[in-house]
Amino acid sequence: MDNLADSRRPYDEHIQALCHAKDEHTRRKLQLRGYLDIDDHGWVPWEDPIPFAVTPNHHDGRAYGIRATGENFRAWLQVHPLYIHPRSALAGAWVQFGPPAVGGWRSEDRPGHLQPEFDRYHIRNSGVGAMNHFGPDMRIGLELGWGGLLRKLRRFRALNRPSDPAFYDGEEAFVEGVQCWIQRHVGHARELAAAEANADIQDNLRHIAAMNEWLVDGAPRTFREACQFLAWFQSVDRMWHAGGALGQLDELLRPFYEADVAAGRLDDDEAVWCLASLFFNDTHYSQIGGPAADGHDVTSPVSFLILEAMHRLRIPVNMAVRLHDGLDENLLRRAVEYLFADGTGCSFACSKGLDEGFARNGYPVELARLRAKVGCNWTALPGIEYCLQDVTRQCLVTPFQLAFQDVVQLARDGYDPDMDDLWDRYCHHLGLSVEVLKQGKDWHMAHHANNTAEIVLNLFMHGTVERGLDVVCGGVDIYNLAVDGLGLATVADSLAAIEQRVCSEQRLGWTRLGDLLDHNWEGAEDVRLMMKNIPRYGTGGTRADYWALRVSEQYSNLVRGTPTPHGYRILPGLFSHGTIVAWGRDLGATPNGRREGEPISHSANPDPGFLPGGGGAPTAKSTAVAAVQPRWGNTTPVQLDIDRGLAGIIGGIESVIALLKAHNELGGTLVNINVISREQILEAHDDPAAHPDLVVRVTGYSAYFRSLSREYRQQLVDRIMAEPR
Amino acid sequence: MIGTVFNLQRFSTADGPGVRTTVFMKGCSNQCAWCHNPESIRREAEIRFYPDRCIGCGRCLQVCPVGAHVSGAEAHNLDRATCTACGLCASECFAGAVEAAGTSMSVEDVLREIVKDAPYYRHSGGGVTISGGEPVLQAEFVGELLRACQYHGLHTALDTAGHYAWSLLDGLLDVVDLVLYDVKALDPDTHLRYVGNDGRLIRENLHRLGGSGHPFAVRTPVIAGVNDTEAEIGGIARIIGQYSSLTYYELLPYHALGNAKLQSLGRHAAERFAAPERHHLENLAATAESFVPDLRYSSSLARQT
Repeated sequence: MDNLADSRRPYDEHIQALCHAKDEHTRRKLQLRGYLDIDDHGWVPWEDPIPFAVTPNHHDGRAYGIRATGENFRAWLQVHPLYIHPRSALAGAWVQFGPPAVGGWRSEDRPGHLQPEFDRYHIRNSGVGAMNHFGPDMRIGLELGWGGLLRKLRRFRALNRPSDPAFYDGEEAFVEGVQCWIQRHVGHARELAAAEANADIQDNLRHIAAMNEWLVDGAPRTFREACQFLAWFQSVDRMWHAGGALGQLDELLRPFYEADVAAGRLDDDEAVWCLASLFFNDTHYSQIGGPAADGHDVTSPVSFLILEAMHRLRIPVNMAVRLHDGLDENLLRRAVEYLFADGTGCSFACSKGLDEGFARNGYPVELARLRAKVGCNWTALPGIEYCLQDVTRQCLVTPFQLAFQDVVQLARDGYDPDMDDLWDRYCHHLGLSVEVLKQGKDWHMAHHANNTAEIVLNLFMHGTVERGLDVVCGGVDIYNLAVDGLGLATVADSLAAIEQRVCSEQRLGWTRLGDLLDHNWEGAEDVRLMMKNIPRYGTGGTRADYWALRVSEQYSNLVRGTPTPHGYRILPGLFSHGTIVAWGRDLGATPNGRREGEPISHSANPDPGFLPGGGGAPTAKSTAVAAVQPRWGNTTPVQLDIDRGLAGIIGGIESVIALLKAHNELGGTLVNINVISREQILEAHDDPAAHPDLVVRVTGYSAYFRSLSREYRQQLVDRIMAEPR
Repeated sequence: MIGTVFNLQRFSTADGPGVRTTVFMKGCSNQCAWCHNPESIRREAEIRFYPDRCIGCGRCLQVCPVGAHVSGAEAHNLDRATCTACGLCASECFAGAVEAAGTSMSVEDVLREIVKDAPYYRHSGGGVTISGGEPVLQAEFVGELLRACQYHGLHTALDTAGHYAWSLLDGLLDVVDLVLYDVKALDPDTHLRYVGNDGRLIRENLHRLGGSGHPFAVRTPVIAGVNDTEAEIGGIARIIGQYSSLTYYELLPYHALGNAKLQSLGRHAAERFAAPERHHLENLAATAESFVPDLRYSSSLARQT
């Protein structure tokens, strides 16, 4: 092996070059796509055609099932473009989802019989056919390498002698494809090195070639090789339907770091460069710090190096600090300091709510502690749990609208309805919509593997290869599926507004309100504002807070109280990703003063300007969201947008640390946070291209502000403008 | 016990240590020309009027018992000479064009809001701050409120400007963990011109407070052309630095948030003010630093040059 520590490299220059490259990639991506309302995903813009033709196994011209997927994946990686940034420590990047025309669902397997109910209850994301969204145990790959994975597949094929070897056929073909792709990069690195005039860069490229020549078959031996292995995993995982979970990154890399440092072949500057190169490669979700199974904190020097790499690179990175009572205070403080310095940074997963909630399902708390934050909003037990998080949304608003229409009809029929009638109808519709989601989950579990196999993540689970079963088909031991509700504040404020203005004060009747909603408040702006200006959810102690808790409990009981018809347990959370614009676009006006087509409320967060007088307070928001947690181990994140002015105030950092600790203590599960000034966000909204470096946490994910559509940017502007200065 | 409160600010980070809730009491014994809370000066209720927010619904006209709201063809006006500030219009204005400045609240009402953020106080060493206006003018209410806060284990701070009989503050000290004492200027003429009194009573009470041994901090709003001199800032620092119970001295660069509020109250600033320039503030801080145990200021709030 080469020994880079012997020849000091200008690591900061390398990292700056990566930052500039990301900037250029983003500019070209936006030229190609217009906007990107999702993670950066690490893909490199590529405009040349890729000479791949799918080998189909279905009359629709596509390939389905694990064998066909693996064979096509191998062919795809044999032609997939090569990418090496000469100043990166690592090789590889993906350029588009692929293999093209592979996977998806055959028309005959799609749940057409459920679609009418999906449509009725505005279920835009049923989760049927969704991919990934569970956590791999990357120690499996780091211990075996690609060659070791291949040998493991062959060993268990021989042991199991399956009557249908499709699983092993597909997985082996896939690993062979990855090995081919790595081998091609070896040659590419050598070609680049031969043409390179700069001696340092030439040396780096030669090192990349040698390192990857080993990694084609061998397991990683060094910190840099471990990062390179993870980069290859990230690239193939992401191109296969946008997989994005990595794991407890500091613990994955700590053994390599300690061995390298002890051997004198790695210093912290080089380690930071390797990590920055890994983040440049992709933005897979990871966690640092937090409790081990026995509760002791796992923070290590690698945790700090990860923060340092994020800080120096300053591109979107999806990293979470796992907050618990025993967390290293210095790690928490460093994470918050960099949040202030960079405007965005880590999210903070809260162990108390997550661990205690998950343990309520009957699991030991020792196991619950290992459920790492490895997704946008979500956690998973790495390598042993199939959870299909973050892809199933329960719109809480549409059942409410249908319930309201029922009650208005009662009033039109001469009945004098009250809040009990409205609540009963809401429970009825919410129950039906949850039920159809559960049927969808069963349908997914029964049909998914035959259509779109989890060909990448299967390799990094405990049981899949050993049993020859896809993770969806019994490959692991633990199954907890997930549903995320959204629009809580819209419903809670609507219920409170009706209760106050219609039932208590009798300022208007049910039918009049129904007519106004049907006509989108036309000619009744004063009534709209009257309905909007009630003591709202988030204030604390209001009727809207009461309704928010009641809705959350009802939703949670419906989801968690009974399994699916086929017996799968569903764990409820409250989370809306960034899609509240699209969800609201199709919905009529609501009694909380929301106009037709406007976004619905975000996750379980109070609406912007929820406090009396139109302001907000992070403490109020944090307390409100902590109070409505379903408490079964899935997340209900709070989104905090802190004015940058706090950075200039003595004690500002300590205040944010206190916010985080208190949210954890109150049973919250996740804090997503931006530190940004009103002036900066307004300027960037007007001219996004003039602020190319502005990175924001949209919800659970981090993105360049300029990459977002105008509607998504507006969400952030509304949130930030409503915060106190 | 009822007090007149004009604002309750949660996640307050500028009025004492840690995360706090600041209770702003209405009524003041000073008349600071730069006041950033002009609605705090008068004890009686007032109406804030923002005509640009009016949607012309006419609800205020319907409920006003004295006809103070006048709606013309082009504009909605509030006749302040007629208005009794009864607040009926504000309670019916859902557009936020008319707002009441000042609410009567019981100790229990205020306490209910304060305790909502107790977990955040605990993790930050924060608590509750009673500010104003001049909260000591409502000493009986403030005393009862602070006593209740202490009963709940909350750290208490009192933000006061000292222009009253010493006995009022002295009677509150047993329920105040930290006094935040405002000193605007030492020079009597400057004080008279900008604050409305010569500051003698404030200086005397400052010495009494220092002599009492009760923990206190001193805060000075630093305003360009008014008190941003080494004589003023250094002089204040020299005086307060002699007291061992001083915890810190804080310089607060002026900000203009009060101007819009003043306009909404139907009043206008007689004079415009500005924050000191950053390097000048830093020089002042350097002067003061030698006299006090802990000098605090936020240069980011100063004027950038």
